[in-house]
Amino acid sequence: MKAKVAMTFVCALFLVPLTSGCWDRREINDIAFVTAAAADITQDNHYRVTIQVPLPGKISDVGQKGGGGGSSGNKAYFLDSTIGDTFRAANAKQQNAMSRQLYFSHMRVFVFGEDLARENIASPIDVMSRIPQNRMTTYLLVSSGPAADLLNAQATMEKTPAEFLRELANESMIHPRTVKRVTEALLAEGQDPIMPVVSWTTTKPGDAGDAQTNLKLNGLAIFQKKKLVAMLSGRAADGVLWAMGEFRRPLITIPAKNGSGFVSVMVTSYHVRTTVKPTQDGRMVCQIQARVTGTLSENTSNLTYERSQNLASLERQASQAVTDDMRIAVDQLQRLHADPIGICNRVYRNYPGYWHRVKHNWRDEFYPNIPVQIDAQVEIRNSGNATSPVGIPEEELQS
Amino acid sequence: METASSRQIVIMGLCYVFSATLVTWPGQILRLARQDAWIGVPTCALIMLGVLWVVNRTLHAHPGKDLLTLIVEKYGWLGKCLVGAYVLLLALDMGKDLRLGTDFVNVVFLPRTPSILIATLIAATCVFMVRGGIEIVGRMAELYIPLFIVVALCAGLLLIPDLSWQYMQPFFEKGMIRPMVGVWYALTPIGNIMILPMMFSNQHFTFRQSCMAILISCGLLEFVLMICQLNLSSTLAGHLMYPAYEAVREIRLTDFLDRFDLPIVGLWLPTIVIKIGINLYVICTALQRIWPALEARTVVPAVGACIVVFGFWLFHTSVEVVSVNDAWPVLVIVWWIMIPVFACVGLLILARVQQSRLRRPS
Repeated sequence: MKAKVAMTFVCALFLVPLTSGCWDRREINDIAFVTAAAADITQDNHYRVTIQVPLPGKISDVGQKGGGGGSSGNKAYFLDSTIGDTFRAANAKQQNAMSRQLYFSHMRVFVFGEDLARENIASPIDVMSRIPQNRMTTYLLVSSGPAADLLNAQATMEKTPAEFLRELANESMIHPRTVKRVTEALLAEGQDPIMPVVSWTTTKPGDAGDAQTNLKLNGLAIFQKKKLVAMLSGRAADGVLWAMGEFRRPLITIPAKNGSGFVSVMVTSYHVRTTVKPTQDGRMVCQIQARVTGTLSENTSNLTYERSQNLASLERQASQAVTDDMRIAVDQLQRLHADPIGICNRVYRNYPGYWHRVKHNWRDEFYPNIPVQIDAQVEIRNSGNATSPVGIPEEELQS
Repeated sequence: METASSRQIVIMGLCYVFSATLVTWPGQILRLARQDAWIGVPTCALIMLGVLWVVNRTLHAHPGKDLLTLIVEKYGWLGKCLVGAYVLLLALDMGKDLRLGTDFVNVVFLPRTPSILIATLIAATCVFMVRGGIEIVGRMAELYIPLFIVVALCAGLLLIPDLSWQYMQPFFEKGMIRPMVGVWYALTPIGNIMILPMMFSNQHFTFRQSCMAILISCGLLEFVLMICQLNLSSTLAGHLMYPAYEAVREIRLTDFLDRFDLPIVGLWLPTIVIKIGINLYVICTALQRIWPALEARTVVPAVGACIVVFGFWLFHTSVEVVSVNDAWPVLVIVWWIMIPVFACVGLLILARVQQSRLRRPS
């Protein structure tokens, strides 16, 4: 009995070293939380990786002062950039110059530099999917120009540029482009990825204030699988988002019929249905149908669109505007031989036999020649709190 | 070792089918069977229900005896050889699961902690569990499995807005090849349900309970498979080692409320430990059937230690553990389908011959 007790005691002693903590123990004050990263490609084909780490001690009082960039004393974040053969190699170099261990689990945004995006986006995607510390919910953006610069913008509305970029990415589409969504599109048959473009801008506070650097969404980056082929902006970018059903809070602004001003329709809900079907002559036709519901949110003309007989014509004009946006986008995409809408992916999913016959050169022969029929129907449900243009006297109104 | 209640038996059956399966299996089946992977689970469930029915008839004809006991009693030395073969299969399965669990923890949570230490701690937990008897294993299963199922279902429901239903198509893109591949890979987890008649006699375990165990576990497997397929797409899930875990990481309620992986894995890992524990229990019980003088409780630590060594000796890397699943259905077909069916048909014939001899007038 005594021997058994002694044996148990000895075994318990041997277990003590195992309970002292694991090899992966890390104290929170030894960790540098990376919140945003940017990648560029250098002229000699190396990767320049820039990371942004918020400084917890300064994050609370920096609001009044402004974000700032670089490594000056009042910044709320630390920014570092290194060059390496791979992303991990660059990170390892960064680690050598850091008192804290880099930790990527809270990285919310990753920005591709324009040159890197034109070269290949697949390598960073591999790192972000392979290392469990990274998350596939990280937002992806493309910068217009070098990506490293974006992380140094003042962007004073938020504490750090990383947070500003995260919010921008989140607002860019209904389903913002994350590592998961971009990878899905990269791997899918007959579909190309798409990402929002972010660029520098300067604020215009008037004569009284100083201009600050800021960031803004500036269209869409269109890819052919892993290579950026174009950046669309304006109506073409809006049209792509309409056709994908990804336009977040769209606003349709059209000139009034009598040419005296403009009318804006705020879209409250919409649904886009893209279908493909074969014709009798063996070709494939695509139909994009948008059903849009909105409210009249502004009328700067003297035409009383609020009257029910005029509302129908406004609906027709708005429908035409949406159709035109989509037409411009589809024409551009077919010219670019890029298919972010997934027209060819629908052919693959619904008519796999047909797809296997055309897939060998779908990008150059099949896709650019698909006839795309576009139809948008806008329905205006109300005119807000006004029954006619409010600032215009009754006698000047046109019905 | 004591016995478990009927409910605990059903829950242990569920655990044995899906717990360790959820680690890498969805990625493997989706990589090769793509969008037709879902067909494999119900097809295999039907096959295994047929096998369970035959086994259940046999157990019904021999009340109070589990299949291992029957094989040893009725087939003599040949039966002992067969039980020895089951010990080897279960040892291999246990080594595989131990490596799967260890590698998952190692890759995802503790990359610097030595794998052998993680494996030893898992094995030590199993040893303490099994030394307490099947009742302890059953109670652990009763505690963790229902909770895990509820949490897993909730996680899946939270992902519904992010599911892309077009990922189901195209159906039968390559004819029947991909559905057959799906059946092949689905055999590995669903065939495991045969552990129940190996452990329990018909006093505690009826055909109805085996049906419940197989239907619930297959339902959950199908649910997880569909979530992985519709959330990540079969092409992306096929590129990932742990797609179910990755799908859980996609849950995002608000901007900063998106860390659901830790509580879910906190419930999932114990279920893998329970499965390894069930294997350890059956191995020790089977050894006792071969050598009746052996006391199962006393060999548990030694067997546990051997399996840790066996697991690391056999599988050098996590990739090897996954690769072995490509050929594992062969073992399932032989050990979990053919041997039980032939053994049971033989036992039924023997029982009928004995009955007819007894009825024959002297």
